[in-house]
Amino acid sequence: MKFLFVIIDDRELDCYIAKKNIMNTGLCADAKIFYDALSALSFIKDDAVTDEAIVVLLDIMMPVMNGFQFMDEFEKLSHQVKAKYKIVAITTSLDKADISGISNYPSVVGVLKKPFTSKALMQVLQPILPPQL
Amino acid sequence: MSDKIKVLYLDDELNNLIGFKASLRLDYAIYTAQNATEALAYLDKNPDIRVIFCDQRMPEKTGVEFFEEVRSVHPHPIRILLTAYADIESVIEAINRGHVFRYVKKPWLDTDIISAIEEANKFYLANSMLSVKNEELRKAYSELDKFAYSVSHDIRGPLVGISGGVDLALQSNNIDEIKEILVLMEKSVSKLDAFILNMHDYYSLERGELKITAIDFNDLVKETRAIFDIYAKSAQIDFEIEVKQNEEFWSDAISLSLIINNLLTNAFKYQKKEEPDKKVKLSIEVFRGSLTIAVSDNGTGIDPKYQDEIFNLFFRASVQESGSGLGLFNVKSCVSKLNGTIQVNSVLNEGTIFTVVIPHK
Repeated sequence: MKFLFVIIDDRELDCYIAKKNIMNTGLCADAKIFYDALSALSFIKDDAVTDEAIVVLLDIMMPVMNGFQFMDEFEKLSHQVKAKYKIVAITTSLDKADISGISNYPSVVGVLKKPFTSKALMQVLQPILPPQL
Repeated sequence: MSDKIKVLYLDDELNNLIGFKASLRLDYAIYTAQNATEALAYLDKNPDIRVIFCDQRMPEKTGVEFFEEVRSVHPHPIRILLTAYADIESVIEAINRGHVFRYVKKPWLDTDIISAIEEANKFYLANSMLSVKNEELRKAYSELDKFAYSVSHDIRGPLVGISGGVDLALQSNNIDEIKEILVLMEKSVSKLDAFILNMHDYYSLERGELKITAIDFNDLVKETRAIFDIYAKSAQIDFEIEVKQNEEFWSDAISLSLIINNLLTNAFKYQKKEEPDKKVKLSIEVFRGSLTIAVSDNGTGIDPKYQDEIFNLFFRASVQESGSGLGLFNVKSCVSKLNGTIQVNSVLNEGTIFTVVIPHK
């Protein structure tokens, strides 16, 4: 099973690393990078609804629209759209309130702390993977 | 007149009011009222009244009752009770309950009143000093919180990225890929460095003293010109500096440079990529003892909904370029330290003008 990945992070280097890590999981069909949450959101809104599952790696701290604001908007979307996206929040924050705050969004399936390895990413994605044969 | 201590006296007997005012008006600004409504009106209009005298026995309510009422609306003025009777019980109770600072016996001696005012004034000043200090502390704490929070993002963020980049590079045998990673890492390093420099500015501003000297602006912008000319050339931006100074101007050179450099950095940073005719202009004019610094560009402009917030600590309005969120905050602190004003005039996608006006020191 392969996913389309969407990376939302304002730092170029972090996007690059995230992409490499995603590739290393062997789960990736394609990865799209957005340097700001607003354009990612409009991509999601415009995206034609297919059945393909999409994994979103979302940085929490970004200027203009941060991860929390992004989730506020995302949760307003239709069930059909939301069901397709598996959101993994990515953070450097050491603040517990941040981490529990972002986990409280129903559409967030997991939280990863930067720097993360492809192994850690695999672990977070485990629950959404189909059972091994 | 304005620096006299303001004193309010409430008494139902007109003669007392007249006598009080006659003997004290040279040294203090005296307001007199014959009933509570009138007294409250004075307090509403003059929140800087420092001392209130009030007679205990009045027809509508007692002095203690009046003070109890005043205290909830105007807690700062110091309350002193005047009493002709041996109302010692109610006076003691009022003092103990904190409604009254002290009391003066009627008929009073001017010296008693004067010493009461002076004592009350000292108490008032100590209290207001305390609240000023409290306010400063609150501000310092809130900035400290923001700093602690930002350390995890603005300092740890690039570091974590760099360490991730090192890991990747170590695993790779592809020299082109390693170089690609190095370029990205270099960007993170310089962002981190810029952030730390801005933070250094912030601390020197908060703790530093101003050094006032005569400023020659042609001299002051020499270094600025040298730095930004290189940048302008490589980014193909038309950069112009105009200095009009025909009179002496005294101010703090370091603060002025900080203001100019931060505004210019922003003007260069927030350019439109597709604009063929990129422009940045710095104009400095000293006229009739006042300095005007204007930095204008035809760049991306600032969204009107963010224009009120751009001077806030760690606020960032742009996704295009990464800033520290300290630059304009530092500019604003500098400008306020020099008793100046800063204005922003910006149209989205057309450009921005920052105008700083600073008076002669």
